[in-house]
Amino acid sequence: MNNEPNIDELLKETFEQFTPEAPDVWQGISKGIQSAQMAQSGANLATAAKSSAAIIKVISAVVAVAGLVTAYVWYDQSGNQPVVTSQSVAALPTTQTEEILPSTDKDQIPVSTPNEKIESSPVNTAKQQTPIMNQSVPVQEEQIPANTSGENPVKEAAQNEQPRSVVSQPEVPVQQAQKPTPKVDVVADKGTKETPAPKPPYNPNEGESGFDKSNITNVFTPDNDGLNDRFVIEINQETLYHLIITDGNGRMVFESFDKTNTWDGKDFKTGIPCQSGNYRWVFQYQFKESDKPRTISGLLKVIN
Amino acid sequence: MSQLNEQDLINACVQSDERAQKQLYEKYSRVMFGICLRYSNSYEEAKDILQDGFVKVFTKMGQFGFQGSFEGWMKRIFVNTALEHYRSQKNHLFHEDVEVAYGIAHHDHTLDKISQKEILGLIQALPAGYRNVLNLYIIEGFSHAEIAEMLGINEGTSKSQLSRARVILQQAILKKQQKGLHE
Repeated sequence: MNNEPNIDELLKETFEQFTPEAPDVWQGISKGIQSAQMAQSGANLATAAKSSAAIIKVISAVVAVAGLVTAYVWYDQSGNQPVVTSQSVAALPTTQTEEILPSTDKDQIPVSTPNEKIESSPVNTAKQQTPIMNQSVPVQEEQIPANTSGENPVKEAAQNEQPRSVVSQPEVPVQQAQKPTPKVDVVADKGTKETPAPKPPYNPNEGESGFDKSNITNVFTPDNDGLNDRFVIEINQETLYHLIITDGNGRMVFESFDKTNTWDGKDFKTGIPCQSGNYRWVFQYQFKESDKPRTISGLLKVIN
Repeated sequence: MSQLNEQDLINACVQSDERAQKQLYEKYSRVMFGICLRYSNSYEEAKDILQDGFVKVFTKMGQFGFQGSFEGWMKRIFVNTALEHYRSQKNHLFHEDVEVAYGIAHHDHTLDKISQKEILGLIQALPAGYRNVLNLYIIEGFSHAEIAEMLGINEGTSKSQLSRARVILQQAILKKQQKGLHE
């Protein structure tokens, strides 16, 4: 049977010149390019957010170190062994650049200083030290004297225990206070990158014509139980609504130009429910045609 | 915009010049749509692939290093886009049970009386897996080893799908011709 080559030749001949009238999909392409760029900048934002989170960690670590030093000063003062901690103050700038020192290192700095610096006047140091420390870690004032005053004689033991308990205390309030900032940062970054409008791109109190980013959920469960089954961005009187959602690989799983078309957790091309995991949304909006579109993005955890 | 030569056009597209992008799209949309049609089972699907393929071309344009023909590079992107499309839809649309008639009739019928459009229709009616192998092997000229890698199947599967695709096409063409004779 030599009909097989026949088919091959037929196909080759048939499609050698095959230039059918193509439908006009230019508009879709144009939008697609825009979405791809948005997804790209969304990914950039993600890394920017990560690095700013890292910076905040370092800062809070530095504050923790400052707290530690304060704690030490307090401890020494209450133990009637006032020590000029010019050395420990000098240590601060270096730790700032070095990230977090292990707590054993911090213990050692004070241990070595007392012997060298005892001769300096106690009054001076108390004046110099306390104001600075009070500013950076106000919590210390209450905590440390209470902890240490009773334990003066057991100096060595207290030194080892006390700093550790101090480390954990300042960190909690510090991080809570700073957590909201990366969100705002993301928005601000975006403003400078994509829309170089100088005005702040996000105002939580924008009222009716705006929307509140903090209302946007970061977890949703598309299991049709009536709770959190759709990913919704609430926005009113917008003139542009463009939402895209990408999966962990940057593949777009949802795109909408219509606020009534919200995401149900399915791949919008195939209709297949997306797997549980982290997704990223990028949202472009504007309230006046004359405004430059603003873009914000965030992470979304899908739990199926 | 006046007509640029291809290299200038490509460079302008890399710079995200929208007019250049449109010009490039207009220049190649028909050829690329031909590929899309061959790899899809419907006009609508082909249209989707055409759009996705061009988006990919424009976003990846910076990676084209002027090595080899630009049209060839674009065609490869479109073939890959079509295959990705197939993969993402396969869970839905995959159905294996096609009537395969094995008793092949005589081969002395002249096949070339059938129009391009009709042959396209036959190709589009093939199961997607067969269609992919047929396109990749016969028209794009890939080897079975390459196809196996591209589609994530065995080389043997590629070979057997190709021969079954040929059989189905052969059969369908004969049917058409017989029908034509009787009407």
